[in-house]
Amino acid sequence: MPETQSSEIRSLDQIPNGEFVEVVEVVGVMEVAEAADAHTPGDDPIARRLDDLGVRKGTQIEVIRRAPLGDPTIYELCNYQLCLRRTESARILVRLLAKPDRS
Amino acid sequence: MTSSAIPNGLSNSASPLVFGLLGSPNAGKTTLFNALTGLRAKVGNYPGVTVERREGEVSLGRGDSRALLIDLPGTYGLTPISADEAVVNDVLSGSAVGVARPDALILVADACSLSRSLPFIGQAISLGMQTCVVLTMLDELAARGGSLDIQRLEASLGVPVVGVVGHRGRGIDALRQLLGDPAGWSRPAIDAPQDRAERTGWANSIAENVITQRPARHQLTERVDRVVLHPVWGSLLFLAVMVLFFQLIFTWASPAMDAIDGLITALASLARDALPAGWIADLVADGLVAGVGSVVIFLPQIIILFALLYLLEDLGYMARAAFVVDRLMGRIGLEGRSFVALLSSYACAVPGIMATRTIPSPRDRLVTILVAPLMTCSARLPVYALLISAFVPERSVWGPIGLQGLILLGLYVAGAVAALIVAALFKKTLIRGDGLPFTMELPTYRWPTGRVWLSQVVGSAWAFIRRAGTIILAASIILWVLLNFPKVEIPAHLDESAASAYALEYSAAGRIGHAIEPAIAPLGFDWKIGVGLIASLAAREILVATLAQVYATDGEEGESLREALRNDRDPETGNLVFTPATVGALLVFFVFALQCTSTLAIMRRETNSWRWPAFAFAYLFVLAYTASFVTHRVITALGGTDWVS
Repeated sequence: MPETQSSEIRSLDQIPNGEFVEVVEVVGVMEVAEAADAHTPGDDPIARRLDDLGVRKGTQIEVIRRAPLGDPTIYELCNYQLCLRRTESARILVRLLAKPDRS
Repeated sequence: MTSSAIPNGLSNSASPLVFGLLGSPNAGKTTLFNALTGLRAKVGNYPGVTVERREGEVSLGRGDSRALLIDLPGTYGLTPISADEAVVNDVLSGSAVGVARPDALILVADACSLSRSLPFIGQAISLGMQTCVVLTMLDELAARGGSLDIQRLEASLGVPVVGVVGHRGRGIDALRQLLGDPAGWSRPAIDAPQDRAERTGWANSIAENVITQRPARHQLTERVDRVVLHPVWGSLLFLAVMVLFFQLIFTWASPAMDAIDGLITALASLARDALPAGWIADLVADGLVAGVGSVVIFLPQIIILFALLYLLEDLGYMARAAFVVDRLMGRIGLEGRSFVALLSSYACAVPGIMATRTIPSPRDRLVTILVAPLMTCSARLPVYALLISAFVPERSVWGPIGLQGLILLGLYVAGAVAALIVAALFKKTLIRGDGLPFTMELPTYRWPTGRVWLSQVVGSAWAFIRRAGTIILAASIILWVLLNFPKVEIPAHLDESAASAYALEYSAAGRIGHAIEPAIAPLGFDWKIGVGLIASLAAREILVATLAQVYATDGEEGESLREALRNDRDPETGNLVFTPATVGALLVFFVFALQCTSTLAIMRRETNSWRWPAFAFAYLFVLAYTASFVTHRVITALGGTDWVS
């Protein structure tokens, strides 16, 4: 674990169990493929679906556990548990939080 | 309170009110629907898609007035990604064919994860319909130490809010009262923002104001999951549950199925005794009673399957099982929940296909339905048993492992491997993914309520009888007619079994068997096997009884049929009919072919069109014919035209 944890941005699939993170950005497929004008997350169907599920900029997520075969992973957010595969969690860019902040 | 925004239809008191039930998949929508409608739900499909459509009558608070409740498919938002998800928007806008546009909306949200649902609630309220919000799982919120202020939520949203505990029936009466007068529901002065980001801000400020204490994690769930989802114990438990699940369907159902079988036989002979001998007695005994029997015989398996399935689902284990096995199923483009349906198909494809209802993605569900008949169901076993015991020597291959058992295992494995390959192929070509990401909520563990559980099981069994039973009954009667008509003069010198063989040869089925002989000759099949294949369309195991009839042997169990098969020679060439190549080809044919009208009927019922059962029958027939042909050629090339003694 790097000491300067709060500034480093990683994708959610890289975060080990038990860590708390905050979502910085959800990267859509279209942003890679269709460049400039698709930059709002609402335009990408997968980013939109994740947004509907509560995964959006500023959401705090705890990594709970991985499946026995390594994928998918259970995350806790908005007081419920959500299960995502790597293909989706790799699009979610996050910043590590030092300790739980669940007001 | 503003009651100015009365949508069309509310003022029209002649037709009953229509309510739409809208909410995310795990919000407790179905439980609420059941609590409001009891067992009066009508289940169907939306036109053009395989999305289940449920409607029911709900009695309102005032007098005996009733309203129609439409249970909309579970959704997390109103911006659909796939055609299947667009169903919700179509119904709400009134553009869905044959579905009444709701006069008012009931939004269902899980009180524990309210902060997540608020943007959706805002979006739905701003559609402009009369709307109320129902908060479910209030008992769980309290158990997890959370609290929220319903009055404040009502004030913030501008619409009525009711809290319920659906499975305990709490709050349902208050909800009924509220549903009695949707015109009087308040509407917000200002709608939630249309822009997604702004709406999120709007939702967050309401959440902060309304949620007085966020719930902690569910302690019991946390502790149980440490074992149930443990890398080692979790996997072992998954295997144990699946083996037990399969075993119970297989073994618990057998005594009941035997009992039903005995009852049907008794009823048939009773009918035969009561009626004057002749074709009417035959029709009642062998056509009608046996036809009804072929429907009822599925009930034990279906009831046990759904009893276990709903128990695991209501407990919260199904999502965990899917989580554990998801990666394996992901490789072939399906997901964890397909596994259970495919496993159930080992007992019988009919309950297996019904079990696909737990798969949320309609595409994944369709692919699972299409490959389910490849799993070796219990109806193939009598066919395999007859052919293997008649033709495969009881030789030990290695220690206690015998050749017969090994071949049987090989047939089982071939079916499963074929199912996985075909599923992967379909997902890559014909029925590609709908672009939906895999997302699955993990519910907290909950003790199921007996009443809810029972009504689900009874509902599923009833749906099978009503929707598939009629088709199965009709098909059995048609096949009975083919096997028994037209009647021909039977030569007097024939004994009873020879007479029955003679009658069968000149029946419609016998003639069809002769007619298709050139087509099946490349597989090494003669007309007698052809008749067997036609008869086995009713159910695979009927092949055995039909062969017994064709070969004029009295019992299907005994050695006589096996003996007859082994010694049968072509009257013209004098060659053996059942050569190793023919036996191999016939076994392989049964691995693939969809010889089962019940499966076709249930496919029709679950996909709401004849298109998919027709497609499944066609592709499996092509697969069966090709594989059977190749098998025949290969064995012949290896010198398998005669048995080595």
